[in-house]
Amino acid sequence: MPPKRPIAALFYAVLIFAPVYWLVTASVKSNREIMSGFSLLPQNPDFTNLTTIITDPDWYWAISMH
Amino acid sequence: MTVVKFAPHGHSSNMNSRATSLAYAYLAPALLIMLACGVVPLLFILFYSVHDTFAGNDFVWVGLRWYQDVLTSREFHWALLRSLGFSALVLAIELPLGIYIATRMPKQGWLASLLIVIIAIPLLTPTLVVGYIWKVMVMPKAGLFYELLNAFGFTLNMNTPWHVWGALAVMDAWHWTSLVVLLCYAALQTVPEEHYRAAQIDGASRWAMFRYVQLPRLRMVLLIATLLRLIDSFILYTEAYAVTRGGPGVTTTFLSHELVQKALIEFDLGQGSAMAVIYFAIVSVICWAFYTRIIPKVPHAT
Repeated sequence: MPPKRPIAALFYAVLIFAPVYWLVTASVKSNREIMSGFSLLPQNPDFTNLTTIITDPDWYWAISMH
Repeated sequence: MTVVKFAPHGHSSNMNSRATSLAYAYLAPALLIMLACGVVPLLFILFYSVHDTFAGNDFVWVGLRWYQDVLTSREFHWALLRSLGFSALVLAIELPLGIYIATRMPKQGWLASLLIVIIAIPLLTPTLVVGYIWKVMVMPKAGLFYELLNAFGFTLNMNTPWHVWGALAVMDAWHWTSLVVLLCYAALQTVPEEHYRAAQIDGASRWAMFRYVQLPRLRMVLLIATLLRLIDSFILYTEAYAVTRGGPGVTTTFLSHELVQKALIEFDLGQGSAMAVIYFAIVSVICWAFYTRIIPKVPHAT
């Protein structure tokens, strides 16, 4: 019987999402912040890592090669 | 296919054989591609596995010597045992957990949709990215998994074999339990509301409800899930390699790693090919056993 309050499923979804959340937040953190322990929100969001990747022509070649 | 086999004689049999040849004509492109991508490389491997070569194109017939070498090598035995052990471990985690989560999902509504999207994320993640995520996850300070265990007073040490096995099992469970959840969830959608209500009126316990109302619907998808997870975990390479490189020592060197080590790093073509053929035979036997021995015996839920 499907439960009225899906607590277990919600808990599981949080666990599944945690590494993805960590990955996304780490992409806008500085290396120093990543290595200095876990913080839920990035202190100074910095999008240079992402712009580096998105504007790097090598990266597009890497996609097309695989 | 059985329809064609047991067709009566005469007119209809003619019709059937024509339909059969048409079916083969339609299948031909797919069969050709399978032949080029699957069978031809396999024939090369078979050829290498019974020949020795001295740098170049001189091949000398050696019979079953490479097979003998592989089958009597301790590295092969241990790598095979580790692979089977890892498969057993992840199946023991993923099947019960997947079934449990599927039964705890809401049947419909926005929350069900949201949960399905989140649960499907690991299935869409490239295997190398999963390996990379978990390599960082188990690092001190930076790693979420390490820090989470640390908060409970457990220090993860990636030089201790059973810690590494645990980390790999958690990684595989993160990646693939979702598959079991989604398959079971889809099967559970077919249980009519009346069955639950009837069971409730009969005063069925939660366990009885699961055992006699839900589980019969899950049989077929669980078989498929078991087969998929068994084969996939048995041929696991990328994620485990990204996290551990087979270490510490050789404690997480699975059969796939052993094969790559033998064939591409030591560049022992003969033994490597023989190992590949044996590996392939094991996987084929598992699939064959599933399709001919186990699946036909499972009664279909109505």
